[in-house]
Amino acid sequence: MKKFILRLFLFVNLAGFFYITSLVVWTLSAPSMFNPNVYYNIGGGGHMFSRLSEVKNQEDLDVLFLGASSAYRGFDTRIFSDFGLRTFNLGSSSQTPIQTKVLLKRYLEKLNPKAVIFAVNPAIFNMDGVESSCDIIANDKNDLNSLKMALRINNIKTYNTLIYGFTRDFMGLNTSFNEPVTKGPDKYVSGGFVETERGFYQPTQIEEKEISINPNQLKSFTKIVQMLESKNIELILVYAPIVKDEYRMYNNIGYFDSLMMSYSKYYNFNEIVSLNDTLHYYDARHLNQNGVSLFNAKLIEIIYEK
Amino acid sequence: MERSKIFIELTELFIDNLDEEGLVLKDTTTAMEIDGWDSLTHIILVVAIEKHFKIRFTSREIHSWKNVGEMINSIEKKVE
Amino acid sequence: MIFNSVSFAGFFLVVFFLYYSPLKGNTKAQNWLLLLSSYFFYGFADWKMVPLLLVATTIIYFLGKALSKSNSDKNSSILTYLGVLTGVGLLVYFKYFNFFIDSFSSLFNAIGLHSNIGSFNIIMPLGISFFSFKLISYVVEIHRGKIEYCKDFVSFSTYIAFFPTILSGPIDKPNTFIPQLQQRRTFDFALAVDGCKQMLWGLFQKVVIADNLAAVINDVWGDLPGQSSSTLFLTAILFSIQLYTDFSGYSHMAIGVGKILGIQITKNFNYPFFSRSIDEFWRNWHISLTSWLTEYIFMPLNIKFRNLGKLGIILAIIVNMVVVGVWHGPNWTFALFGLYNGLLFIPLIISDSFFEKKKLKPNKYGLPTLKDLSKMIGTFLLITLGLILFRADDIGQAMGYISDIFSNSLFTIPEFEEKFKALRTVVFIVFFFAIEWKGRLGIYAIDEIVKKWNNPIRWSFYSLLILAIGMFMASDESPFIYFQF
Repeated sequence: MKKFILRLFLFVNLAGFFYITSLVVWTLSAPSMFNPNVYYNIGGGGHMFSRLSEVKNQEDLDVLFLGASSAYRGFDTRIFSDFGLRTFNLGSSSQTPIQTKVLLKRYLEKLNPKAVIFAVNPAIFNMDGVESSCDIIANDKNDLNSLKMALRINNIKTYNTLIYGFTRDFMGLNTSFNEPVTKGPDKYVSGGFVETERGFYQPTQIEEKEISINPNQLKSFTKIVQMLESKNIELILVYAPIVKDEYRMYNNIGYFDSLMMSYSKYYNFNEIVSLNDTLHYYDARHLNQNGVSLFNAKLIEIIYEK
Repeated sequence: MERSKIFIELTELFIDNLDEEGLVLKDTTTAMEIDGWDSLTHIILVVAIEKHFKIRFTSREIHSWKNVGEMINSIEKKVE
Repeated sequence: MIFNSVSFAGFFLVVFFLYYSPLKGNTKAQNWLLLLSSYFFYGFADWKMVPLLLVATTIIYFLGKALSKSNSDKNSSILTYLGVLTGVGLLVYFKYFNFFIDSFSSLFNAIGLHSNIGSFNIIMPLGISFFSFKLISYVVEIHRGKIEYCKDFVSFSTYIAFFPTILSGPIDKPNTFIPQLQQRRTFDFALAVDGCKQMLWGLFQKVVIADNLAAVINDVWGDLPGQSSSTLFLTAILFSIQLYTDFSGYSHMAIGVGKILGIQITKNFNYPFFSRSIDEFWRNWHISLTSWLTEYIFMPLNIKFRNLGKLGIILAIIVNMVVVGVWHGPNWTFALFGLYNGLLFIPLIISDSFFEKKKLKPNKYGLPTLKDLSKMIGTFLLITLGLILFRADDIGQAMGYISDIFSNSLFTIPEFEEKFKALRTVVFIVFFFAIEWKGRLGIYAIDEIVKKWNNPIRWSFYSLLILAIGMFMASDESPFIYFQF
């Protein structure tokens, strides 16, 4: 049996080395359609590269924004700045609680916010987090937290992307990367917000949905709440407004509301503001700039002026 | 009928129905040792044996045979 | 726990180390370990059904004991019937009861009588189709005098609950399995390496081919109206391949795990798609099931009908194949699937080719002859047609699918939602079948192929397989198809 264990150990090491080398070479050379299990999208949608470069120079904030696209497209830091608040928007594309936790572990200490506004919605608790994990791996320097995240997500895409990510970090292949400020209709605004030129929502067929909570995500979310509590940071959970048709398609929204309320102060802005589906949104889930202005004004009014 | 006679006649039946020329059977021979003898051809053999010796086996008897010797025992019991 | 998961890896690592380190050579303790870990494994999947498994096992154990001690034919028969009834009863209740109620309800409604019978909420225990068959064969084999009853309750229960095979087979016969539990098992290097290789090959088939095909095929079946004939036709072919690679991949992994534990599990597939006729196919597909049914359904019927000549054989085959179909589930589609396959035997039986077993002889290039190739393709297409019934939710959907294939869009290019996934997978399928053909004399394809290679080349090949798995496995977890049976 000793012979078996030793040979197995040797094989695993050799095969592992072969695997890593081949993966890196293949990812560097082959087009993505032939590489389905690696998703290293440095400078991808959401401007995460710029955001994570900028966050490293921030400290002692009044408010830190977290969440998925409803966060980085929904909280305009300029509006909050005008109100006198120092903020940073650490939202990212499809960010789920598993990734939010990683970002907090990396940056919370330095950012030291007085409050965190976390954009929550049923979708982020349902997703597996694979896409966002790859986004963070590609656009930030990887560490032990990346590994823990990969283990929690337990998906081959994340593992492969992480292997590739560690290699690129190690070989310093990203040091000369620059992300353009404007990408198509999107423009990165200093402070983490992404402003869009996109116009008006065109109604489409929306399917009925049932809210389903992924226990993995809920676990990470609970840890986030505990993390902030232990540092006496105020946590405000916000369900950013979405198009009415989409909102009405959730048949058990009450369940989600009570779940959020059980964790912390929670505002469901779908019940608070009444925006116009066509004028204020550019798609079923995202506000256009007009909508953002109205939403943020109402948010400031409720949280800070009342 | 004498056992040795049954043996000879049985061997002929095997040769005819399994298409195996020069087949030599022993008491201990099993289906695994003969190429064309499987569960299907086994039934063909059984039918041929019953016809030839003018006997009828029960299902239980047929299932109980482990080798040629046991087949012959069953035949012996039924043939006067 | 499915085999390709981190939890199974952890579970098996623990079992492996305990089995060969502190418990090395101690047969009794090793069996206890196998039993407890099998119940743990089963409980992990379905803890509510653990008592059922234990009770059924216990009943059959004592029936077996009584059977061997019985001194009258009459008592023997009664005890055997009780045993068979227990096994069949379990299956009928958990698997088919609701189906019978629904069918009778529909029947009553169709003739104008309204029935208030609602179906019960019966949850089918995982693996019941497999372990109930083991319970039945144990009793019957004792009755037939082929085996002695198993005195050791631990060995017997391990046979029934053995974790690599409890959820989806292969269905081992007590004659070959139980004696292995009574032998001393020390670590066998060659066997363990063989087991690892077989697991690797099974894993490759399952996650690179079967799971990727599943995504492509489910997309088509989830949106049947408006699919072109060529898409439907290709999807049907891909489904046959998906079913094969999924189930044979699983079987290889199960057998590999068994080998690592020093136990030989029965073979389940023997390159069925190289079959040149329907009967050859069914001798090489899901072998542990078909041989079980041959032994306990086909043969007894054949014996009963033996004076009807070929008609008797035809009847026996049709009944047998319908049972094969219905075993898969409580749906008329499965019954029709079985009947269809049974009817395909008729020309073979009539023409006597059913009784011939011709060995496959390749041409001078090592490839199948044109004649054999056309027979293989013909057989494959016939099987594929039947498998449409297997995949469909109901007969109407299946018939619609089949009739939609025969329209003029058959000669257009197939349209798949995820074109590149489909294309990549087809490349792997070609590679896979090339390996299967080259390695068809081996118990599993790569076993035969790597035999002639030296170590560095073998290790490079395994590394390539692992690389292919990591780079191309389906990344959204799909469960094994045969888990639902």
